Parts: sequence; C-alpha cells; structure tokens
Amino acid sequence: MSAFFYLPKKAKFENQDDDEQVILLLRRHPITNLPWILLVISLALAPTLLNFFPELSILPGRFQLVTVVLWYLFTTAVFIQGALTWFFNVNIITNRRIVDVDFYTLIYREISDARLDNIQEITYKVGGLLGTFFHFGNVEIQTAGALPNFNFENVPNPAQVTNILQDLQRNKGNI
Amino acid sequence: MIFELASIWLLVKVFYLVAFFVYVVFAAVTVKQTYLMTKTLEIGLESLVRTLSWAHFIFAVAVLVLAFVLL
Repeated sequence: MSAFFYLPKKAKFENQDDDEQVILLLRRHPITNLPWILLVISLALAPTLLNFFPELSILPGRFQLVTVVLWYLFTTAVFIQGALTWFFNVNIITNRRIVDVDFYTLIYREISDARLDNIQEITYKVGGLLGTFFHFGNVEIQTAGALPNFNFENVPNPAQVTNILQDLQRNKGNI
Repeated sequence: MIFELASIWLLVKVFYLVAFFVYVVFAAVTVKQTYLMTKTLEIGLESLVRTLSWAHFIFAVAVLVLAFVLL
C-alpha cells in the first residue's frame, strides 16, 4: 500500500510494451487521504455520537433500523470511492516513457503518456505544512510541442522522482 | 385518516427501497469499475480487489432484499 515503488516487480499496465520496464510507480502521498478518511470516520461515528438520531424516533422501529443501515451504506460508498481513487490513480515512469493514469469518476478514465525523449523540463515543488513535513509535492513535466504537460500531484519524494527521471533521460532509459 | 397514514408509509417504504436499489446500482458500477481499473493497472492485488467488489455487490443485494422484507 505504498505510494513510492522503485522497480516494482509485479507492476504492469495497459499498452505496456514487452521489453518495457516499470522503473517507478507513484501514488499521491497517503496523508493526502486524510480529508476523506476523516469524513468516513465522522459518518461512521455520527449515529453513536448523536445517540442514533433522536429525530428518527418519529419513525416506526423498522424504518429507524433501515435508516441507520442506509446511512452506513452511504458511509461505505464514500470509503470505497476514496480508496479506489487513491489506489488506482497512479503515475508510472518506465525506461521509455511516463504514463499518467487518472480515474475521475466511477466510469471515466484518462490515460496519457509521453516518451522520455519528448520531456523538455522537469520541476518539482514542495509547499505547505503537510508537504514539507511529510516530504511530498508536485513534479511538473513539460513536454515538447503539442504534447500535454504532466503534473504528478502530491507524490512522495519529488526531488528523488526528478533525479530518477533526469537519470533516465541522460542514460536513454537505462537505470 | 387511517388510509392516508398507510399511504404515507407506503410512500416512505418506496422511497427507502429506491434508495437501496440505487445503492445496488452503485455496487454494480463499482464491480465494473474495479475490472476496468485492474485491467488498466496490474500490481498483484487484482483478484483480491475483484473479490471484494463482488462481495460488496452481494452485500448490497442482500440488504435490498432485507429492506424489502422488513418494511
């Protein structure tokens, strides 16, 4: 469940070439999940803290029970979406290219890639209290011509990510 | 008066069942989504993620049936 995988053994992605090797697999730093985790904890504790919603007492007993079940289902939905979005939204660096995999909603995904030799400039930014304390930040990658630029958001060790990318560029994909 | 009260609770029951049905649809979309995600990215946890999504879907259907019986 890490967010920084260097030379992952089992990582493969769609459209990966046979002789292409994944060098780095990145996710957002786990601490960036804090907002939705706190939301899930609040939602889960709410029925207990609010004494099982006294307002619901106007409902018959079976409706009260079903309301609480519905509430926990909603909580589960928030948890599932938060966890899946974090786990599968990844940035991949291979010995040939960079790949950005984004799942925006339940059914919408965007996968973009750029070859290493199309990368023109790499900059990283670390800011904010959490970013400085937990060592995560953004790596901005400018590509040549009309190709889209890439932004690896809130990834751990952005300086190391930049170094690895620069080394790969210099050594033509060799580590 | 009694008839009106009964129809209100019937309306509430329908509302609840629709809400549970929407959740079953969400669970089904989640199963589809996990298949799409695990096809896009393989990191060795594919079968676990897919199994959990199916378990979640079955749970959602079970809760819908339970609500139908209870209400």
